[in-house]
Amino acid sequence: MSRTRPLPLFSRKDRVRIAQVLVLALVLALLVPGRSSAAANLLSNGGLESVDATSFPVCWEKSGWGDSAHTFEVTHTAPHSGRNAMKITVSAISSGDRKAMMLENPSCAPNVTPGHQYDASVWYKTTTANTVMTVFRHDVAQGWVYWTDLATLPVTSAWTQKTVRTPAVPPNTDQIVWGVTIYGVGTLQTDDYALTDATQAAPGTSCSAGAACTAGAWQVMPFDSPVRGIHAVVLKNGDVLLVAGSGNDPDAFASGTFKTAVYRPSTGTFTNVATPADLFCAGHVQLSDGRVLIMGGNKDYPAADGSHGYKGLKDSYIFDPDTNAYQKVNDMSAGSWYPSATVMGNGDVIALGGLGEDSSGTVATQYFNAAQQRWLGIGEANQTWSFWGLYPSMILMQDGRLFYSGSHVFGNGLPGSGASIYHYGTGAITPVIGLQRKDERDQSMSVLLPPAQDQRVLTLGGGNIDSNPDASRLTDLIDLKQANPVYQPGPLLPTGKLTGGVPQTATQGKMYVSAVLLPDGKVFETGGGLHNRADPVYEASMFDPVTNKFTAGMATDPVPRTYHSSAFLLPDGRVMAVGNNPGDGSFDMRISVYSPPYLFKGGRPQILTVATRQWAYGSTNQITVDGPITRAALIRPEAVTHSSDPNQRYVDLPMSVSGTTVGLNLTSNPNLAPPGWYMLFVTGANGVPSVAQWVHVG
Amino acid sequence: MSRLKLILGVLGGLGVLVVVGGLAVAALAGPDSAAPRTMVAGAPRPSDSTWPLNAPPLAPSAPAGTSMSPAAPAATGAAGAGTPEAPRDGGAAPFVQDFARQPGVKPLPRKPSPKAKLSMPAFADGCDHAYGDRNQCIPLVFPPGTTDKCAWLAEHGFKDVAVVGRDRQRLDPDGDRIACNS
Repeated sequence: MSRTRPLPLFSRKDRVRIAQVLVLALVLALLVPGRSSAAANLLSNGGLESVDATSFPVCWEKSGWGDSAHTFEVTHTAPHSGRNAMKITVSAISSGDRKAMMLENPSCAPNVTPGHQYDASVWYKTTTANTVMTVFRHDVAQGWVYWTDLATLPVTSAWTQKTVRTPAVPPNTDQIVWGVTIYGVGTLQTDDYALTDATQAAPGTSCSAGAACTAGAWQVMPFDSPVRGIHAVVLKNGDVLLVAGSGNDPDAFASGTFKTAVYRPSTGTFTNVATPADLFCAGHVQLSDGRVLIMGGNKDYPAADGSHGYKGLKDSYIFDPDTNAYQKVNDMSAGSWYPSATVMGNGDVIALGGLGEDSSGTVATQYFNAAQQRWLGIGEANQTWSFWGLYPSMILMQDGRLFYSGSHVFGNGLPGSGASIYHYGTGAITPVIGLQRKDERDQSMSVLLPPAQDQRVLTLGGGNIDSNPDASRLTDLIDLKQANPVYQPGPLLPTGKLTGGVPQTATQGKMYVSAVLLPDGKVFETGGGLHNRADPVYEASMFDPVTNKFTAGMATDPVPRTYHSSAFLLPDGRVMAVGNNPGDGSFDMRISVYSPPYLFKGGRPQILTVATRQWAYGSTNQITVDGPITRAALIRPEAVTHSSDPNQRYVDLPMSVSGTTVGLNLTSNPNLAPPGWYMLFVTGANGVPSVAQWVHVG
Repeated sequence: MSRLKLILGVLGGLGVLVVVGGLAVAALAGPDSAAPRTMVAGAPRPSDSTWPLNAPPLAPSAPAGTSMSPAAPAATGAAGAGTPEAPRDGGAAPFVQDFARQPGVKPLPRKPSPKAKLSMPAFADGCDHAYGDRNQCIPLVFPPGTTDKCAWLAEHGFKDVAVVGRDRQRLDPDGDRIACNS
């Protein structure tokens, strides 16, 4: 029995064949676009080459609205590639726009995945800069809806490519379409549209900070504020202006002791500032140059016999962060105790509501002309003679009108539905319905949700000092993109604990709540009390505008934060909280700082360079970063008091990404980002935001 | 031998899959492929009214009762009808969407120039300033369920609350001008 030699597993010939297959596969893998076809163009007929019976590109349509003289043409003259390009000529226009749009149907509209980001790309030539890349999305529940605008296309006579990355696709979205809008006189040519999946894999995150990984963490600073931080304004240099005036202390008022301090978070130091008047209960807002306009204040406290109430000053000052000093400007036309202050798209400021010099309600519309650096006379400003209440939350809409959210301080809401839209130019005030229990939104807070382009407002909590019920858990959401916006009930505020760790009941919420927009696009909600100046509620949560849900169980500020407290975002991505003035007359001078969970989840992206700090509307601004980023945004620094900062906003910056060089596309609409200094944040693929850089818009 | 055939068969199959799949992906990945994908034209759509910009711009919805003063320039886009303004410095004019036109919603009636002051409560802050020192806030209305106001005040840190005005809330039955001490 002879032993045969075992055969090798593969003969030499077999090994050669296998190697050939493997090499071929490797070559193909290298040639085919990588990452599961990440660079595959998802568009049908992006080159406009296939046409239908009318010679118009298949899967495209003529779109637009309004009054214009215009033509659509499939031109064969010097297209970017192939035979066809789209040419739209607008020879006259008084309203509306035109664009070639991808057809909103299942066969033509590209499928997308929620949470993914896509690079939208187009080659173009245009004789007008009045252009914008506009995206619509198909919501599985709502159908096709407007999503966002990506970028303005500058004038160019040569074929130029513009590529802009979309934000993450919202939930419940299965398709998107987009086009380039022309809304001015000129000619726009486009060709070779593309859409590619640009989603970046999220790196694994690790967190060893225990509960802080999901709840964040508070730190009470080892020093007190030297002033009662009733008014807090984040300045263009990252310092924080804390204004007390008399600080709700009639004795200080009687002695003429008025206080202001500037806090520098980076060093934990304070600079006292000479305060020229009792700026307690003033209004305030940053002007376009970063100085702070302060309006009104406290002329007197109420008399014990009720013969008069609080009286409002007409005085107005500008605080300059460069000199840490106040400068007087002309008086307002009426006294203003608890006025609103909203900066408009042209940098002017409108103040509404409050109490006058004789304790009566101020019905004048007061208008600060930024160019003239003065308050207009009462006859110079448009008047409606309407009373807007105290600290009414007047939020600038994308068309320049003001949305009165119904959030206010003290007493009932305004008569009627409690919310409205105000048109300064015409004086028209149109009611908005749907706000729940509008007479229990005293000391609620409203915020324009991120991003500002989405035009949605959230109103949280509230009570009523006249009837003093338990504050509610109500929240209300409104989408100001709708033709007829109506408030819809939002999710209930999570419940917290009262003093002594007593859990709130299922119906107990809070008033004097603070809501802070964070760089990751979420809203941190903290502080508040169950009743006016009493019964602090220890509860904090995170609201996600993408899901419209609260995540309960965020770490709670160990310091009670009720009446005369504020919370606001610092440029380093943390949240600072000051103040608490319960009914017993005490005032808590402690300062707390909250580190959100994102600060425990790994390395922070860095903005290495900013090509220019001066950003024009409709421009693309180059930055360099140290790694992949998924989002960039401008956040307007807060100027908050009494749970009211109608100017707080988060402006998305759609990105044109080329490695670590990123172009940030700023809206052309100043009403979305009123002129001024903003904090520029970028967010890494791990969800961690950078430290802010300061840029000036407008 | 049979094991060798099996292994070679599997490898061969994988190779074919890789080659065919790669070619297919490569063909589909190119922009404007010479052999375009089957496309179905969408349903006919109005050429002048693509959602959501299908609502005509709102006609001025309010009487022009208050004209804009030359000294009071409109906020950008405040015309509210999406009318673009002239470009600034060669840049783009603001792109304003035609949102929130509120069709069918009537503006509130205009108010005339007031002839009298708008009276407001003296204790607008919800505090009864007839009590307490000048810093304190005794509620005008106590929270629901409060049966003993003095107990509520004590629980909330109030001590020796002075009565500096009229004792509306009957907290000073002995009339010594100190609330809740009898």
